[in-house]
Amino acid sequence: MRAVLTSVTALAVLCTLPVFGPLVSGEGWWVSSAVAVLAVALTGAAYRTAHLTLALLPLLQAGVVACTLTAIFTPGDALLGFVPTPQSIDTLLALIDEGRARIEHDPPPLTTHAALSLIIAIGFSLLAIVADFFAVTARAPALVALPLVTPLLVPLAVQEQGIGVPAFALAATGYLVLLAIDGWERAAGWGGRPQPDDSATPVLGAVRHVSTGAGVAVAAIVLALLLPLGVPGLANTAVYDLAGGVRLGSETVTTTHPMVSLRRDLASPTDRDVLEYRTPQASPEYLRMYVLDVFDGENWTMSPLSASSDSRIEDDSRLPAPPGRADDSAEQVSTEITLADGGRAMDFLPAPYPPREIDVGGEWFADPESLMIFTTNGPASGMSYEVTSSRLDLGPRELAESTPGPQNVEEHLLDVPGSTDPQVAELTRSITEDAESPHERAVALQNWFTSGNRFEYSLQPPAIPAGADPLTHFLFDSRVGYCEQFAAAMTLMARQAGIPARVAVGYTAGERVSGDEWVVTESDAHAWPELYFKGHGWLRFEPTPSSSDGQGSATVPSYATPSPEDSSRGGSDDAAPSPGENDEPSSSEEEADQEEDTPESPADSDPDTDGVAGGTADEGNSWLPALGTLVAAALLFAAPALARLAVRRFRFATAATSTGTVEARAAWRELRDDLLDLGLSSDPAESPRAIAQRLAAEHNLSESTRESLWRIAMAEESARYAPEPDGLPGALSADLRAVRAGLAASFPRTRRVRALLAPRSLLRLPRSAVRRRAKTSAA
Amino acid sequence: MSLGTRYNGQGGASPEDTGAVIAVAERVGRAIETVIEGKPDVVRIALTVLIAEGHLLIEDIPGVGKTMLAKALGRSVDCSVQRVQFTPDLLPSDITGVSVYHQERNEFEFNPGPVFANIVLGDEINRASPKTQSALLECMEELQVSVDGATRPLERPFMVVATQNPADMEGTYPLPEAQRDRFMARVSVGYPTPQAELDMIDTHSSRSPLDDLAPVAEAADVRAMVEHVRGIHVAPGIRRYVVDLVTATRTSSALRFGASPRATLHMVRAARAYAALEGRRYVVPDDVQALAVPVLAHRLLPTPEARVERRTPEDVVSDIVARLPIPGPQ
Repeated sequence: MRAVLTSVTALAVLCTLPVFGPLVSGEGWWVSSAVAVLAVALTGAAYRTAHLTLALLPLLQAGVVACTLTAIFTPGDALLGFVPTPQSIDTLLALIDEGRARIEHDPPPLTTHAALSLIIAIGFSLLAIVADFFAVTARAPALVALPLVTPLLVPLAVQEQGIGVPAFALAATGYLVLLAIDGWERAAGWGGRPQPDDSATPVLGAVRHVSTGAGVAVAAIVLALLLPLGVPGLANTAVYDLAGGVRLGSETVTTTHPMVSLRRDLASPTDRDVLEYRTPQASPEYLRMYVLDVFDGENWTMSPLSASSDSRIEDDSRLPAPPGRADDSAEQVSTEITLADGGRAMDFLPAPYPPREIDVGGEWFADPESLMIFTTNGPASGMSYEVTSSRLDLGPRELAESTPGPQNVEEHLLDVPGSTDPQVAELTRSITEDAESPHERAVALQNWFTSGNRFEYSLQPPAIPAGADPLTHFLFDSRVGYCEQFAAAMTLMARQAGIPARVAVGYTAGERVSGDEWVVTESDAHAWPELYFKGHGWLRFEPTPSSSDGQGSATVPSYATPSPEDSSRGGSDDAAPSPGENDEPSSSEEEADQEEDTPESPADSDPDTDGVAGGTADEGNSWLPALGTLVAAALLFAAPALARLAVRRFRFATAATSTGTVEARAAWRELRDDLLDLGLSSDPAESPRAIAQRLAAEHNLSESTRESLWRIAMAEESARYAPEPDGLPGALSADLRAVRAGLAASFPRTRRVRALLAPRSLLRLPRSAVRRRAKTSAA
Repeated sequence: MSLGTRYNGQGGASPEDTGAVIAVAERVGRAIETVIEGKPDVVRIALTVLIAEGHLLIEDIPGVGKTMLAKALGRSVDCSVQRVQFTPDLLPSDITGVSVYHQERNEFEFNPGPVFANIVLGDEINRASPKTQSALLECMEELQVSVDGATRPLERPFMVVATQNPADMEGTYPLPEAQRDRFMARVSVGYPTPQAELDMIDTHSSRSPLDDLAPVAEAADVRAMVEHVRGIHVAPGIRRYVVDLVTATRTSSALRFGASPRATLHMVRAARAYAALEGRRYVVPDDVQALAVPVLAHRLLPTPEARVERRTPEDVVSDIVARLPIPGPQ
């Protein structure tokens, strides 16, 4: 019996292997994985027949996997061809390193290689061991979903198309078969299929069972989808965000993570054309595709996009006005863009910022905040469209003169996660110390990256040591990276300096081929920060080194070009803290200092204090939300008791102010609810007098309590069945109190507390439902 | 029952009436219990059937006091009692009576049979031929006798108490279901408790307690009780409950045949009588629950599967009663 479950578990794991198909090109990469998984299953089956302690089984399986993989990959170095030796382990470790390097540097699909097979085989053996433990040892096969989902996540993260339908269906089938076999075995353990109620015909019973199951499943799915939307904390999690999903009422927009596409483009060995365009401008703007405005401490992601009718681009091709731009008189420039045939398919259109109109076929949407142009109909390639954008001729001087204008950016564009290394805030402060306006601060930040601070541009940055914060590592240790690191770091630091900022991803202007024609290739993929200035809206900055040592086609915008004075200041910035010096000022007194003299708290950047002070400011008044949470929790805790109390009050009031039927009804219901609260089962076939007799017999009630109980029951009985109810003594509320006290006294304290705090009567079904159910079961 | 059932039903339409009924019923009940010891439930059902104008079938193995119960019932009420010992050679006319030619007056004269009495004891009814059985059953249903074209009404109250022996099957004609349906209730006396049996040795060994039994009520008292029973209120919820109960026997998969509509009527009448015996002027679900097995079980036929599982109709009815929700407030 166990052997069946073991083999089905192994089968379920093997069924997830094909999802790696699109990631690896070539044959035979899966053989070693399959062998390792089978080895795990065989070990499990054999070990279980020996009836030894099951705690050691995973260790034994891991050992068998090690031998198997040694035998496959380095039989020459091993003892007897399969026993691992230090030598063979070194070989395997070297192979793993090589595989890691390949995975990091090559874009998928990777070509088959022993190193790759080894890594996949190790992964799947671990999954098989965990799955075997869950399904057979712990006998909780539903948990096998956890190990089975892991391989599915890999293609989801790196593959534009995600998982193919057949591969997913196969994986899901494997899991379902496992569940089915387990259910079947459990049922068999009870000696045959459970029969439906003797009253119902078998067919009806089966239909009822199936419909009950289906109902539960549907309810579960609906709840799983809807509940996170109702819970604010959950709705903002990465599950919904990464996909840029749109929820409740409009379509879902999903796309590959922009940073993944960026990396793939930059790493592409072929450097294919992405698009070409015609523009009258001599130095065209960057072509922007994505805006990432949410930083979770590790990754930049998009806010959810809404593909609703409001954001659809209508026939007049007008786009929403660019946020924050005061004067609209800027020169309009038209750009004709043609996406390369056979190039990358786009579901977000590259366009110069800020686009004002777009002439494009098909259904496209524009996000009013970010002016991203996107579709939900699947990516397009080979198409042409024309974008009209505002040309912004800003010099450093114009930008420096603060223009009055709306400051209506959303608060989250200044958010800095509390987990950010305080060193970064200190660094930002030291860089922007001398700058007076937001503009100067922005330029100072940009220049700090580009001018001689030992930053080095490389598409293959060194690996980040395990546990290190990537941002801290980039800023203080390695200082090697490409546009992604530069853009992300400057965006975050700009936020710390009180300037709303976000990361834009797209392409640089590319290369002029002739006259007004330009070509953009994959190596022009780029990421850069966009900063918000009052009256000017969102402006791009360029912290990434350009020219041959950096991103070849990157340009620094005119307004961010250092003026003579600025460059002298930039020079002084050269003396900005080097990594070595930087470790020292992060002591606590320094931080306290920083809080006190915050030099940059000018009136024009009011919402920035949050960003600069980071987590420390939060701790100051954190007792208020804590108190609120405590009160809310207490209220929540007491809510059932309060609700029950309200019901009781109402009934007592009813019983005290009325006589006859109404009083009897109120008293009886209250009694029934009290019984339910105390956990006494209620039988719909029991009459009031039967209940009273049973309670009196079972709970050893005193004589007066019995009489009170009997009066309540008789009043109810008479109210229900007598031709005209007796005008019984109207003291039922007193009787009720006596019975309550008498009953409670015969129960232990824990039961009484539970009755008080978690009154079950609140969950009682309406009487009609109980009757219906009981009647069908009695029939 | 320790919780004074006496409390209920006060302030009814005719409390004196109620009190009188209870008094009479209690007297009769006590009288019977001097003979049949330790079986108050059986006695109560018998009384219920008496004042509900029904007929009682006592089915049990020999020697547990079937006939004793029937006799005690007949004797405690001062009314005409006839006893018929059913044998295979008994003829219908032995029950209904026969017209004989009166030579002096030169005409036929009707000699009334034992059925012309208030209480008729049909002992071992299953020993007679079906023809004779049906003669009695016709009287039970129609409360009249038709002999030679003349229809003669029977006395009121009229009650047939028939006993039947299920164990002894040799040469018997067990009552068919259709006939059993005419009895309002069936009871089994059952073995006495050890204590009751001990007492029995003391009291019965010397002389029969039946000899000491004097009538404690008159036929007129019984008629008054019957009249009173008719006025007992049955709430709409209770009527629905009875119908639900009967319907449940018809839909149960353990039963080949459910109870008939006659069973419904019998049940309501019996419940009224039961409530009256409790001194109540309205029926409560407990009355119906207490009567469900005696009133319904003997009319039901189990399926072969239920027979194999040894599920008797009594079990099925008890199950249904235990699960059927009682009527709530209207």
